Amino acid sequence: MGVQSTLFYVTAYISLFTSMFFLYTFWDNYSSSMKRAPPAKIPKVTVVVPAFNEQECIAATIESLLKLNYPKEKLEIIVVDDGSTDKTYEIAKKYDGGNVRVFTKKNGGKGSALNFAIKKSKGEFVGALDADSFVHPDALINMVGYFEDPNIMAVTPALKVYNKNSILPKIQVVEYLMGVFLRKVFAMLGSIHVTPGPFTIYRKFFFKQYGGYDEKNITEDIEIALRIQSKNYQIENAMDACVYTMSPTGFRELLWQRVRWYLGFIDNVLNHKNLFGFKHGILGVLVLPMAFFSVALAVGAFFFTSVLFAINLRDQISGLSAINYDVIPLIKAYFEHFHLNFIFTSNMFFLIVLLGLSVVMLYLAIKKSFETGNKHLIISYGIYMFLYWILFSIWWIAALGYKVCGKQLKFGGVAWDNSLLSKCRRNNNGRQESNQ
Amino acid sequence: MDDKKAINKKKLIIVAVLSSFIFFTGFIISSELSRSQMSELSNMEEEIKLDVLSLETEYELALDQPCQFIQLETLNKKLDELGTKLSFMEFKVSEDDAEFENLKKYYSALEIKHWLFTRKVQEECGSDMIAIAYFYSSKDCADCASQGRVLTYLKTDNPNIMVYSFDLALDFGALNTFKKVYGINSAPSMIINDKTYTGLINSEDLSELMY
Repeated sequence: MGVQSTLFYVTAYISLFTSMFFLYTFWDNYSSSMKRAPPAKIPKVTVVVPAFNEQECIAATIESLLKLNYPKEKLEIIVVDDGSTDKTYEIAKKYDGGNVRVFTKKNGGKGSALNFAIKKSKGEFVGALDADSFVHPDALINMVGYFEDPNIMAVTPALKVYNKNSILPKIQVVEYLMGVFLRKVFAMLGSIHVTPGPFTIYRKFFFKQYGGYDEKNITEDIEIALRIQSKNYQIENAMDACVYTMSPTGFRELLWQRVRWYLGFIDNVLNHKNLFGFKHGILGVLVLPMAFFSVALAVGAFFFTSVLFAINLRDQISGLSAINYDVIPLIKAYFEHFHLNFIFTSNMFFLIVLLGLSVVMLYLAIKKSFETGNKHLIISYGIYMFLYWILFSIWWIAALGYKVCGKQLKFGGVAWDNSLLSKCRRNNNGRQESNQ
Repeated sequence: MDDKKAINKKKLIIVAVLSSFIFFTGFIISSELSRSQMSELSNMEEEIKLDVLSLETEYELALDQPCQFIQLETLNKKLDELGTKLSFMEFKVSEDDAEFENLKKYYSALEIKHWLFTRKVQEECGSDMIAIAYFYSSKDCADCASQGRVLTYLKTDNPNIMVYSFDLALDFGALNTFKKVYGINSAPSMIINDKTYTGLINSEDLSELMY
């Protein structure tokens, strides 16, 4: 067996094992962890909306919070305008009063806006809702029941895409639905390593005990999740608490979002290296290593396929020029000589099985999170299967490029200057200064 | 560590067993399929062998007007189908698969026999069939795929063209002699109207060479 086949079969087995493990976990824990009734004494919750230049969405975000099926006296909404240069503050200010409080401050990034609000919050639990996201009326009431267990420090929702009109959001619809399933499985395995900005609810005790958000972190939601894990607390997921977010529609906008996420993921995981290994169970042995394995796999497959594609394209062009690009007879000949049973290989068998398992995951995510309104989900799934791994690879290659030799980047109010090259330069400068 | 994070060995073993079962089922299905495909190819070769023999005998028997009895089309189609199926198989089997190599040798021997017969009919009956012997290599031959495409292209619209493909790397008596007689030692090469041509030839030039 050649190197290529061996690599394929090893990858196929690992993917098969992981998918089966996740599905088995879901099935095994289904009855015990799918729903939590709200506690008899409804707790006071503060929801913080940090906003920076969100004049388009801020009103709808606040409106969705006001429609929550939750006792008004138990719900506090704090909107923090993080130094916007548009009309975000003016629009938000119209809602000031009752259980809504609106503040404005100098731009300092999302983490600083959240910390600002946490200090002013009166709730026993604090949630954040990005200003481009909207909650389902039952989201909060479906989440608070999980906090009956004092070890649970955070509860994440089922995060979905709100805008579904063009190709990139269609791909993200399926990506987020797969995320809905995976986040529930990770919760069952005690392995959630991201608490999304849109509507994760935290126990305020954790902030008091271990400090607030890291204000200099570009992905404060990953940092806080890993910090909770490293302190051996739990993060839960409420699959029936739906939250909708606006997904980027342009390629550059989406790329930039992912570069931020992935750079943040690398930095934060490196800062919490202690999470790897047997001490943290499935999180350290399977979930975090698999996250890196899937990146290596996608990037490796991308390079390999690109080279094959380039060689094939060269041969195709040469072949087609020899027949003056008259392809119709060739297509005719291809269909005349098509023998389906002769095309089937073991590789195809594994791809069909893996595809089938991903369809089951998607189905469970749709059914258990009561997803509706996706008329063209099959088309979205087709586009996702065809394009997602290519996009995923491109995003990661860009992020890894920045990680190795990127210059300073600015995300919202937070600067990132943590590439290996910058670190080397800083170390050299430090050494020279100390020598002088 | 809380219970959720704990590594549940029993669960891991169950999943490993299930995954291995699916994994090996894939291998078994695929190898069973390959075996039945090999046997299908072998049966086709036997059938073609009988057809070639029968055609030659028919030709010899019809002493007075042999050309009236000759119908090459059906056999041509069978050879074509076998060739396509063999090329599909080539992607699936390993390079050193002895059974598959034997099937290819057998196929090549049948092709040489049929090529000789077509040439004979062409000369004696003035048939408008055009027999092209095409030598390719699946390794280190950038132009072979292009040449194959040119031949498929010409053949699709012209049923009188018969292409006999030979893998240059095959090593057995009949093919070695065939290559030696026509001075074939690199790919792509073609024998058209008893002349040998080497290198990629586009569709226009090839049409001119044929007529």
